[in-house]
Amino acid sequence: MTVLVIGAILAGVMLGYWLLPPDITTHLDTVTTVALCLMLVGVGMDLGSQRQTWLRLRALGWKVLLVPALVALGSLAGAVAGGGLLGLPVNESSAIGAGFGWYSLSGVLIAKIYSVETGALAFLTNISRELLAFVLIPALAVRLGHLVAVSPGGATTMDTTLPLIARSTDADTTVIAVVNGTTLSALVPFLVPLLIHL
Amino acid sequence: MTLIFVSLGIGIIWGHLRPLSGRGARAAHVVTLAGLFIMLVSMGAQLGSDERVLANLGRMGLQAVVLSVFSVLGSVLMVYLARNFIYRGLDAKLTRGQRREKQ
Repeated sequence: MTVLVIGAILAGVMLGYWLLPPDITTHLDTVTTVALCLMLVGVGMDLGSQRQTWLRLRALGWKVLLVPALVALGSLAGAVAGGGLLGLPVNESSAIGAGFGWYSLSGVLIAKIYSVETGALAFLTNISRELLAFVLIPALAVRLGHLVAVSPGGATTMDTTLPLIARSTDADTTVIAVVNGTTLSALVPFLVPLLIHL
Repeated sequence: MTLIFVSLGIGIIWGHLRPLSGRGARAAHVVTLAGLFIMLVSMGAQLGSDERVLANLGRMGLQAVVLSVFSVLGSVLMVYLARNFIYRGLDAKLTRGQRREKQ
């Protein structure tokens, strides 16, 4: 999937650089707006139909929600601190941090509603987060405990990093990872637009 | 922004009221992927046609690493500090839940 996503962006870059006349980008707007709406309806349907995860969450109680809440808070605070060092405005750094590793959605959302440059930065930051998570999860599980190993993955702990979490931790932590990833994934499409317009 | 929340809301209500069957889930997945790839190619095309962004890709790579390292550090630190509080009382529920699932 990652290869396909990077391939699509590279194909776009080549199209934009060599083939497309500069004024066509304005015509792309209608197509991308329709594509964005379709994509978000699909994302929403996926979130809405995950009854099992939400039922499981109710059974475990509110405390398990602290994991995604703290991961989100830490991500946003960290991104704002890092952005401060780089001289980025708070709205940009916080919205990029609110991608929680979901590089495709956060990148295209910011590119569409704010600026293509910040969208590209969101894409690169969140893909880098996913790669960092792959490296850190096994080490964190051994050194700082199973629960901490869930934190670097962000929204990806319900899909791409889940198999690694399952292998590096235990069944209980894997359940928490699914709840964590699902909750953070549900937050991304809401938080990114809200924060970028701060 | 309204369009974003309306689209998401329609999807969530639709998915909640009529949870997707295997076939429906696959169709929704294809539609989402098609939308995503159109957006990705378009983002790439806008990047490729913008000389200023292309010239800054190296700097953006460095910024991306700084932002991702700080985000991950923030998340790890928060969960690490609260781990004992979160685990208290949760162990029993998890074990009970898994036992129920196995039955």
